[in-house]
Amino acid sequence: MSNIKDLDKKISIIKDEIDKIANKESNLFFYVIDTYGYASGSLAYIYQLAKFLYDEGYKVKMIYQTDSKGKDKEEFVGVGGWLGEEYASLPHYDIQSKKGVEVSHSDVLFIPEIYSQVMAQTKKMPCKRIAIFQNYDFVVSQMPYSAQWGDYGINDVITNTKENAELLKSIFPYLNVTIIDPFIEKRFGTTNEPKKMIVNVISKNPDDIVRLMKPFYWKYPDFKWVTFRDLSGMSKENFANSLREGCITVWMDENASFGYSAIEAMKSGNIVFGKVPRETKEWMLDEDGNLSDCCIWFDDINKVHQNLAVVIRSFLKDSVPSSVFEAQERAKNLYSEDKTKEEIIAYVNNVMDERKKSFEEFIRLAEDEKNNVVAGEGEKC
Amino acid sequence: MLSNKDITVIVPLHNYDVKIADMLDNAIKSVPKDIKVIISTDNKLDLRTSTLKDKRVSQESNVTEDTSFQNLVNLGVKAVKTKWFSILEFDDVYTSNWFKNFEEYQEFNQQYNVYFPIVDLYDVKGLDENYKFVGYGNEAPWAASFSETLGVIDEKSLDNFFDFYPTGAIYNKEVWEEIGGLKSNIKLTFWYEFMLRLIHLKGGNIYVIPKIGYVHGLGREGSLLEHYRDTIQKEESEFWFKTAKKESYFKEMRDVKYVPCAPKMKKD
Repeated sequence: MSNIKDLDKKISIIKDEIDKIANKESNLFFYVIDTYGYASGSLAYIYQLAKFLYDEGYKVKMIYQTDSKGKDKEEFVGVGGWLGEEYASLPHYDIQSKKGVEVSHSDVLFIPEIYSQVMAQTKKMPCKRIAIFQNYDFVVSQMPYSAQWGDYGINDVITNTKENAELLKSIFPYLNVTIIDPFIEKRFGTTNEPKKMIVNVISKNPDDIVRLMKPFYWKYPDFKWVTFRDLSGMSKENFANSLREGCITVWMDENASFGYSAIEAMKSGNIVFGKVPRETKEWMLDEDGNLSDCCIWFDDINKVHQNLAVVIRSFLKDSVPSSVFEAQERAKNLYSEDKTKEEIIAYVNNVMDERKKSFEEFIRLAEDEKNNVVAGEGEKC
Repeated sequence: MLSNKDITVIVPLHNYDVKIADMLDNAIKSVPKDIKVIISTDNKLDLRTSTLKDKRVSQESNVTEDTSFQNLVNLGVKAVKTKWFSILEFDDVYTSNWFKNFEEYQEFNQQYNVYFPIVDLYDVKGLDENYKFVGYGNEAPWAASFSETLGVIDEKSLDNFFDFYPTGAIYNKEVWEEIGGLKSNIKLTFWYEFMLRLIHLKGGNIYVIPKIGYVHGLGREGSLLEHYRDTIQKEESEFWFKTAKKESYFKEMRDVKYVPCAPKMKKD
């Protein structure tokens, strides 16, 4: 009889979980890193996906872990300063506090690729776990060579580009990888206001900016008056305003997971100089698979100065070839907010449907087992 | 939005010589067709050159003793019927987009009364030589920390820097006249004095449109600046800078004259 009681209890729990799915009461946990106020395209992508689901009525919870090793508990800075209050105001929970982060079967936990330890630690959790993969370097650097994602029970992944999907499948071919396209936020765009003579510089390495600016002034003293503006550490709003204001952007991020900043600069009407990243993405290529003219590409910072001087002179003379902007159109139009929203909502709806079906199947099997137990008990009598 | 019909171009012309007719033609050809041109001269011109047959070109003559550049400009401004005007030197040219750029930038920066272009500077010593690009003019305000606002000439920046090229710029006629125009009794630094006066009396700064709008020749034989370079000594030059700062608080011309110090006598 204890078996029947156990089965009834399990069936009751799973029925509750089915009800949660039906009522969108299941938690969608997004494990996020704290960049301490620094902008990150990869983190913005995660927040954007979470926000779409939150707006769709899902119970989204952003979870993070603060470091409590020291005397003072570390404060979570979050994304309010750079991504905006609409994202910072999503419900956030510190997993240290354990409040609000109780996990049940119908919940889904999204884990960014950098957290391979979290993948391992959550292996036995009852919820569905889905990895978010944007940066291959993080997989290579964080995973021990003796393990794979499959060993941690990770079977489902969402990623942002076709190239990333292919790359991941090449190492873990058993994964179900779904592409959810990224998009460029509407805050990036142009107005009729004419451009100022400012060269924006986007780089994670402060040395790059010095190596760009000083030799440029030495080589082209006639342009010593040209202002270079470092956009690192800016809030998203200021970043967007600065891009809109300036006329040229030099983008240097060889390890970029996607290259959001370059497209944001194009959308803001900038002529973009791009340092060729280690991994090329669809937007960077033309129809023949060559680097597209949407950016003025360079692979050596010491060789960019001459082209920069030519483009500055062209801007001053209004003689920038229209082909530069025409080539940007394809890259700018590849991604849209509506498309991303549709993709993530359809994906999660499907995950929840599948989850519900598997729960119903569990109940059916449990009922069968219960009947068998009852029948067995009857036979004994 | 403005249109070119709101702008007039003034060409001050002193001591006209037919030798410069081609240059004058070239200068006026750089003015868009829908902009009127006033040639402000110290005498009636010979109307045989092609420029002077152009129907949009008119003449303002001033046969008086004061044939200074400043007075010719002021004379031209008096005849202007539009809200804005620009000054074109007979051996310079506008770039093809300058007036279009002025309209675009002015629409979003309406608080200013004067708009400078960035100027391409060429060395034009000797009329038949190949001109050599020597650099940019009016570009400094686009350097970070030159002034409070990027692209703007303000009082603080004028304290330390005076090397600007005001021809080719576009001026608000009403404001120009309100502050008294150019002062013909100030030599060498009359433009500097005007810029300071604009800021002191009108409280308005000057905006530099970050586009090359004007091509200016340096070192032309017979030009006013060359004349000053040849004739003005260091002491006099310092005097005119001090005078510009002092006089820029006064709308009216005051009696200003450089009197060289008498050479010191040796004591017996």
